[in-house]
Amino acid sequence: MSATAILIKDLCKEFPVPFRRETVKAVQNLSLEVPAGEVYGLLGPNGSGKSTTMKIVLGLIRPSSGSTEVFGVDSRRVESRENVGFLPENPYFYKYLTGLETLLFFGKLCGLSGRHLRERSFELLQTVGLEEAADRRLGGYSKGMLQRIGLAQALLGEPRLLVLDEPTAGVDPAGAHAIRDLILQCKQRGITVLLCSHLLGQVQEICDRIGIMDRGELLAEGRIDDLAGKKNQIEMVLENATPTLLESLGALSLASGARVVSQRGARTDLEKFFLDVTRHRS
Amino acid sequence: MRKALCILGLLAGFGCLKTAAEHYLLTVQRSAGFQLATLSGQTRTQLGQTGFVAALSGFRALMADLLWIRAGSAFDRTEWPRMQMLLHAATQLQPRAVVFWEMAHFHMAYDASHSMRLNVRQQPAAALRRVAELEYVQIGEDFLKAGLVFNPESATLWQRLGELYSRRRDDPARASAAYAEAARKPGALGFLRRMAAYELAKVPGKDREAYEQLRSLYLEGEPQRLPNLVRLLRQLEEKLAVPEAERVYTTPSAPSGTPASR
Amino acid sequence: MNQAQNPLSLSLRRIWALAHNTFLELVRLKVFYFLLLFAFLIIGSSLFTVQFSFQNPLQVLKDVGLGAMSIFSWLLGLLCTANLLPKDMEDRTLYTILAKPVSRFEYLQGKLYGVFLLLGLSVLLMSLLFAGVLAIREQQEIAELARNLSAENLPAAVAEIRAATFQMNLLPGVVLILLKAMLCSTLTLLLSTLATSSVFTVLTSVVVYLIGHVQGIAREAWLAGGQASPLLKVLIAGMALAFPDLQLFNVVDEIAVGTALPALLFWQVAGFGGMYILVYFLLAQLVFSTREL
Repeated sequence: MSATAILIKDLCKEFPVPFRRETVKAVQNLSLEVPAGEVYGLLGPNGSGKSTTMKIVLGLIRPSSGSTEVFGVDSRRVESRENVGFLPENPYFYKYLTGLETLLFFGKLCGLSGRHLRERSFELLQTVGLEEAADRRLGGYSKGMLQRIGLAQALLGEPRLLVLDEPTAGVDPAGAHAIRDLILQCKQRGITVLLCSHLLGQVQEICDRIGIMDRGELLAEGRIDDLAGKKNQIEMVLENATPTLLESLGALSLASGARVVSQRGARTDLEKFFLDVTRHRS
Repeated sequence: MRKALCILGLLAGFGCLKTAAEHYLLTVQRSAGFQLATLSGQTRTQLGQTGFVAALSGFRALMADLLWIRAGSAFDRTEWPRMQMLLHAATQLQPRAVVFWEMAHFHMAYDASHSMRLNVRQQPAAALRRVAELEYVQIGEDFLKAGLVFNPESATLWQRLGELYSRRRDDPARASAAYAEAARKPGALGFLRRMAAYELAKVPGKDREAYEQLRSLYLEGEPQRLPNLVRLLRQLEEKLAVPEAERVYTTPSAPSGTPASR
Repeated sequence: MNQAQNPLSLSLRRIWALAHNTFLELVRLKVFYFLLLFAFLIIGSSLFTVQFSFQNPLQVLKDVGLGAMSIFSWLLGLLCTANLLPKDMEDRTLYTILAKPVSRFEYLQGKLYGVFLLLGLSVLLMSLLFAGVLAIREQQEIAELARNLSAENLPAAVAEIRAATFQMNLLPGVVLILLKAMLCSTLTLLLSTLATSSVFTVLTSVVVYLIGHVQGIAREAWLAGGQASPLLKVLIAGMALAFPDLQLFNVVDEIAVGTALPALLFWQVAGFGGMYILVYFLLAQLVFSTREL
């Protein structure tokens, strides 16, 4: 087993502009390595080349130069996709299929069949919490349900690498939370995850390492703590603190050579509040 | 660029090959009786633009039917020239339908031509009426001959040609030849050979040949010994003064029998 | 994963999954309702043709049916195929499928076979319906004759009626109708790999269909080498080389009036159609394999 899940070397991708000589450079000299078992977040504004990079990794488009490998197999080869599960952005599956039929169909494409496939499909429907919607057509699914069935189909072939493109785009907080939990479960099981997103909060929660792209170039890369952590600062949340206590804490800090940079009334996380309220209703 | 040229070259090569194959297939199909319809100017006019396209793309037989039905309404109104055009177009579209040729000839050589003969109100001159009558007989004959080009093995069409020469032209020589031809075709009815012999007997100077034919038919056995045949045979035996010993029909008193068939 | 299997059978299973799915898609899109139109047409004209005394009503009915089968199967194939690729691309289902270990070659085959399956079933259904209606009308006509004709003349008249109904010798002709529809579907698939809109695909495919039916005239004119202007000659030659001769598949009308189709000829025409399907498919694959998604 290769220790490297994704290896991108000097990747360039240019798209021709119709009726012109010039080209659009979507990706320039990108080199990247994702070790197996890691959750890697690829960040960047729209049009930064994230999606193009992902499509090249999945073999959907060909690089202009450079190479990408998945577990040591060139992305241009069909075999490279045997260990990959992919959830596209805003996935639309066949509306005329039910949830179960969708999984059975994609399972067959992964080479599964028979009882094994059915069992695996039911198992995944349970995992993503759609067992009750299994016999409903996807035409009647909400966005969050589609995203979850998408995740289920991505996990069908028991992939070692999961590629997720904006997995929570357009999904309500409860759904997003469920999806995040699913991703964390995958991480615990040792599945490598490549996550593309521009929801930074989410990325910060899940990812081990991130890369930031803009206009086709990788601008920064590293562990989240290294990139976003302020090493000489620490946050502290107090409950039932009296003004006197705060004053003495400030004095104590000054005496030991530290400095209170900011102090404000703590708020509950809006997401947490929202989840609490909606959960109480149901 | 080079790749594109390569593909283009391959395609051109394929084009040539498939064109040859198509030409070959068309030839084979034509010789088997397919792809004989002609969509010439006149047929196209009768069909109109839409009908022409329909005829080209799968509805050819149906278009022929529709033309035929329109010819039927022309018949009801005794519009003979219009009917002739429609019949022509229909037969051109469906040239392998023997019944079309047969009916077309019949409507022209019999219905239309009779109608010309009786057309006293519009044409008082008997001679001119006769000319018009014969014109339609000719049109009917042309239909049959055109039909035979597309269906040379049709006994029916040859038989109709024989009937036309016999009944409408008083031309027993050609009638006999047509009947004889019909008799040689697959699926020909049994009486055609007798018809050929009967017509031949009417041709001056062909007595001997007619006699030989009738005699050999007679010798085939009971089913051929019909009253007409026996009567003609006797007449010819008399006329040709066949020696008594050679005559097939020696005893006039012998029961000729009433054969079962026809 | 599961037990090791040979790659060919795995690949065939994937193609079958795709074909079955495509077929299911078309069925659930209710394309079979389109065939109801055919049923209306046949049953309607079976009632309508009774009034034609000048032409054998059964013959007219048969010609309507065979013509309609030809047009309907073509149209069905064309309309179903034209939207397959654009829809998958637009909905990005194509990404999800191709991100599985599925090659584009397998994907394209699966799509096409799904359409073929639909076409085969449709032609079968149309034939059954058509034969059924003809059989009922045949019985009616024979009953009518039995009332009006003497016993002596009846057998010949009945034989004439029988000849005008659906007979087994029409089957090879119907198979060639199906083959033509399949050829046109493959062509449509090829066009849709090139096109960016399905309107373009449909229009172009219709034009090719129409030209395909007059191609023979142009080709024979070109091969005969008449006196045309050089420009016209080039035009005609181009037409002959670039378009298929679809008229070669229309043999059913002649069979219907009693012309026998030799077995060898049937296989030659079928082989010719098969070759065309293969070439169009390979071209489609060539274009599709290099297309950026």
